[in-house]
Amino acid sequence: MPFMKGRAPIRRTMQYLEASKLVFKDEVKIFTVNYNTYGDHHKGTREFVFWYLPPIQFKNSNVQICTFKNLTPSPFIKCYYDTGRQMLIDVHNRTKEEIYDHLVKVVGKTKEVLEAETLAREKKDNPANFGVGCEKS
Amino acid sequence: MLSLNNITKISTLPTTNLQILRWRRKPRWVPVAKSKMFRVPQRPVISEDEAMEIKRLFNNYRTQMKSIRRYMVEKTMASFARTADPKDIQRIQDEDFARCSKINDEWNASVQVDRVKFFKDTFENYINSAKESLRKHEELNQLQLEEAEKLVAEQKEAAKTFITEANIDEAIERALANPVDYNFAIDLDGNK
Repeated sequence: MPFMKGRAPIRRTMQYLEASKLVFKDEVKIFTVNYNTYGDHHKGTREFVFWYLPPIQFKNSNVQICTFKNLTPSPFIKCYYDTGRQMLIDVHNRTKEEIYDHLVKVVGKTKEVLEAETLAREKKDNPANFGVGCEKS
Repeated sequence: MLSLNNITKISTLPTTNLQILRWRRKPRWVPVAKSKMFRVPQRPVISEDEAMEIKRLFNNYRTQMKSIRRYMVEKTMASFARTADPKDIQRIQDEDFARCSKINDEWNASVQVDRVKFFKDTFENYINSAKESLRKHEELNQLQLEEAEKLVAEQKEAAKTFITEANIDEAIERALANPVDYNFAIDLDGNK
């Protein structure tokens, strides 16, 4: 039965995919990672792409995520906003956890915003809810 | 079935402090009891001072509770509030981008230090290793040259004993004059 496919099939489980902390801001439309498949100073980025990119894409299905390999001497991440702005993040010699935490700080929605959105979604889903913020007063 | 065991169990029930509840209050369709027909309930008399004190405390309590409730409502409303004005939205986005850019610039600056040092060190290593290999190559060349020189010197020395056209007559005469007898035996050490 072919279900544990690939090098680390835990990355394909729902629990792993939904555990992503990084939800991009609404303005971020494209997320690009440039790195090499060799080189010690690219190791953190390689691991970041291997472990963290699937949950990020799962949580942000409307964001285009691209990876470019073996084009750059030093790894970097670039985020493109819909206003035309860009954010360049240099990730030379940084571990995957450092990169992830920095991304959450810089291009991710804050925890409060996410909680408010979850609450709003729940209130809208359930027609039996009434009170502040619901459709029925 | 009534047995000795059952009787002992019944006797241990707490019958003295059991209060059987018939109903909580009289049903509304049941007429008023004769003893309660003309009952006039006594109004509770609270002295003026006490009444004022109670009222003051109640007012304080209600004010505080009202203020807390309004504060909480305001806070919740603020989290749900969304401006529809595009200028406002743009301003909020700009401010947010500026704040995040600042954090990112600090991060990039610290990474840049790392990166520049790394590439500088790599470049220096390349140059040093190239210089080292060049030096080794030169050394090897020098050694080979010395070897060649030694060989040539040896041969030059040996050339002095060569037999050329000039001294062939002399050599023949010398050879004829000194015959060498090879008819001898040698032991393991090379002695005759």
